[in-house]
Parts: sequence; structure tokens; C-alpha cells
Amino acid sequence: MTCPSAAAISQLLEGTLAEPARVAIESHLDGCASCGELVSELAWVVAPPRTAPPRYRLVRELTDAWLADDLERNEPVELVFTDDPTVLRTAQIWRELAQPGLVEVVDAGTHGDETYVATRIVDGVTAIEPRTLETVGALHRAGGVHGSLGPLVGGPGRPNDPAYRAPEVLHGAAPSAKSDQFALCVALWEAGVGRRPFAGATPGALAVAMQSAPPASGALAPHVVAALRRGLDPDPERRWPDLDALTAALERPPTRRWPYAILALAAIAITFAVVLAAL
Amino acid sequence: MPATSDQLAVACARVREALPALELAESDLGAAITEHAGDDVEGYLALCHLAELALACGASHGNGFAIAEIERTHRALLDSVCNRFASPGHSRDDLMQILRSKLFVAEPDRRPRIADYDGRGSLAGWLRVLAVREFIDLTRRKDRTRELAMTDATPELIEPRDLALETIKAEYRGAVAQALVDAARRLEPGDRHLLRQHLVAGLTIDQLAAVLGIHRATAARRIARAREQLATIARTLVAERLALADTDLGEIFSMVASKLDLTIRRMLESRPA
Repeated sequence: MTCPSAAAISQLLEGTLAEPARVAIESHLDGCASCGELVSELAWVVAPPRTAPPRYRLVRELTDAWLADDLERNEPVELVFTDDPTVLRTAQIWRELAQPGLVEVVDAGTHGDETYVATRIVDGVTAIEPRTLETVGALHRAGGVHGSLGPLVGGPGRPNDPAYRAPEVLHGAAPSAKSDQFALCVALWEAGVGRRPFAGATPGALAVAMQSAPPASGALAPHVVAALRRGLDPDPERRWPDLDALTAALERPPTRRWPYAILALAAIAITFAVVLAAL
Repeated sequence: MPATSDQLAVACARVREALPALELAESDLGAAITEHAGDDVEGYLALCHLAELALACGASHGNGFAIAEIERTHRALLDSVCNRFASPGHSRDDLMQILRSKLFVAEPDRRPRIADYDGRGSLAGWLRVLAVREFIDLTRRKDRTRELAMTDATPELIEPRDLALETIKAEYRGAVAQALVDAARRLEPGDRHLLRQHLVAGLTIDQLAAVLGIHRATAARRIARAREQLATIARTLVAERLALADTDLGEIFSMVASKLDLTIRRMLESRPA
């Protein structure tokens, strides 16, 4: 392949190249020193190295955050940068709640065009557990939204894995208490069944899969399947009103009397119908 | 294929609406469209950044309004590129002057570069690539710490020194280093490029995502996958070549993995300001 034109490289940066063309250019970059250097230089121009507020010194880039030194408290922190300013409010509520099970928010603010949240480094992040529902419920009651829940519960402001994003969020809506509920139900389903309720390689495919209820699984008690399915409803309005209701539904098997009574009535009605048809 | 007179009339009307003050001969715009459209003129015109193509076309013919408009609109962008490449040998103003003359002035055997803009992407993106490419050629110098020696894709990807192979038993060192080099050769070229830019050029995930036009999470996932593949392939190769027990292999590769992390950190810390 000859070296790509300035126009082609520019389209690569803008993300407007068709997939085969993008793959071909990336392969070319691997073997061509001057184009590799061009792209490397362009990276410094289009995305200058990240800077941090004066209180912090960036140490290392992690997958979705930065490890930094907090020069005020002289301890390491994790810094998350986001362009979503509503995270500030969540961080504020988060700090006031200071619940066990919530990662401690050290500081939050704006830096340039971005919002940042600094959290204390805990030993990994908290895995989802019963307490998580209570903790996130408290966050919701205080008017906050987590927005990035998954099987591991980190601090606010992180990008959320699409597999845990509610369909309305995949379609561009802002995260809400109802989308937090959806994410928790995906993570709980995954923990109980051993695989995620919805499969899809792309956010688009996931959004399509999320339009139907996940298949029943013998690994979970029927009332748990029912409770999680309601939390996974594609329509946010039809999910549980809040996490307390979800928790209650998960904990308490429904009373058996009514379903049995209805089954018995149905059986009698069918018997009648069969008998009548036979006459 | 040349544009039909109808297509050209519509194109000219679109340009007049966007840039009433631009005086551009219809035939000049027609020639630019013919040159860049390829076979599908209709499809090209539907996607073309027509106003920017018209400005570039005007500027290539020395139209003062077009040149001033391009310089005004893209001043900040061109300044940032010039800043990046400014050095004691070439001040920022020198670089801007050189860029202007490349863009807008014909050389004896070459038309002004701005005539090459094809309207398929934004003019800003195209200018940025062109400017960086020109400045790399101009300021290529020996002391560039992040210069990439890429005649062979692999040796610089794995620095035995960085991997601190001395922590591995001497008899395995050569085999492990060779396995890592061989494993790097077997990676998908695109993934190898990504990993090299990350490990050697010290580009952050944010930067890689921006420059490859992919989502940040995608870049992070691809890097993680490439590193994992590298370790897995190398591990298989060492197992084949040395007939080692699984426990020994595990020990060697946990060391290698931890040193790969160290390598990344060192790259990031030694990044030029």
C-alpha cells in the first residue's frame, strides 16, 4: 500500500473511514516509519498530554482513570476525568453520604473543560453485594445518580461498560436512578446466572437485545428472575419504582396462594371445556 | 468524470449561499470537483465539504479573500501545530511563514498544496495533517527523543533491558527474549502499531483514541488484548522450545508481565514535555 493521503489520515482521525479502509491504514502504519511518526506527532497535536489540577501530580494512566499523587494529603488517589458536569453533584452527595461501601470521594471540581473526581484508592473496587443496593438506594434518595454501575462498584464519573447501560442511555439519555437500577439488575443477573442477560457485540446490538426479556434461568429462584426482569424492562417507567422495591422483591418470594388458586380455577375451567367439547 | 452543468449550477448556488463574498469562477470550482469526485459525482457532492472546497480552490488560484478566510478560521489550529514544532532553529513565526508559503504559493514544479484538499473530510483536519507532515520533514533532527526507528517492527517493541530479564534464570533469558520478539511479529499489524505507539512513543489511551478515530474504551480494550496475546504467544513458544513445566513458565511470565507494566510507566514518565 502506498502512503495514505493527508485526506485519508485526516478521515482516520475524524473516525469517518469505512472499516476496511481503517484497518488497511492501521496495517500500513505498522510497517511505515514516516506514517507512524506522522500519526504519533498528530496525537500530540490533537490530544495534548493531560494535565491535572495543581493539587495533583499524574503518575500513570489506568484503563479508565489516572493514578495520581494528592500533594495536599500526600497519598495516592484515582482521578477520573469526564465531560459530564452532572457528576459534580453526584460527587457532592456522595461525600455527604460517606456510607460504607461507597468509595471515598476526596475532591471533585472542574479543570479546563472537564470535570474531575478524585477518589481514595481502596484495595481494588467493591464487588457488587447486597449492601450495594442499600448504598445506591441512599444515593438515589439524596437525589444522586451513580451512572457507572457494573459488577464492580467504583467511584462516580467513570465511563460505564455498554453491557450495563440501560437501553435509553445507549440511545443518548442521561443516566438516572432507573438506569442505575437496570445496571444493578444486569450485574446481579450476571452474578447469579454466570452470564450477562443480554448479548451484543456493539452498543446497537445490545440495545436491540435489551428490547426483550432475558431467557429464564434455572440458576435463579423464579421470584428473583421475575424481580430482575422487571428491573431490566426496556421501558424505565415499568421498572421498580425504586431500589427499595427491588430489594423487597428480591428478598421475599411472592405468596403462593393466589397463583395456585388461579391455576386450580384454570384447571377446572379447562376440564369443563374438554367435557363440553366431548358431548 | 466531469460534473454536469446542472450539478455544477447547484454546487455554485450552495457555495454562494455559504460564502456570498467569495468570488470564484464557476469553471475553477468545476475543475476541482472533476479532479476530486472520481466516478460518482453525485455521491461526492452529497458528502463534500463544498464551501471549504471552494475556499481551497479559490486560495489555490490566489484569491485573497479565500486565503484570508482560511487563515482566520484555522489560526488557532495552525498556531498549535507551529507551537508543537517550534525550536531554536525554527521559531513559531518562521514555521507559520513556511506553512503559508507551502499552502498558498506555487513552486516551479508544484501547485500550491491547498489545491490538494479534496473536500472529503473537514478542511481543519486536512490542514492539521498537512502541517504536521511538512514540519516533520522540515525539522527532522537527530535529538528527537520520541523518534521511532521502525525498519523492523519488533526489536524496539521489546527492550530486554526494560523487561529486566536478569530476574529470570540465565539459561531461559535468550529464549524468552526471542519468544517475545517472535510473538510481537505475529500480532495483527494494527494491534502491533497500537501497542508500539503506547509503549514506545508513549501515547496515552486518550491520544491513541483521538488519532485513530476510535472510542477510548475500544483503544483501551485493544491495547489490553494485544498485550495479552503477546504474553500468551510468547508463553506458548517458550513452552515449545524449552519443554518447561507449567509452574516454571508461570513464574517466568508473571515476571515478564510485571516488567511490561514497568516499561509502560517508564515510557510515560520519560515523556518529553
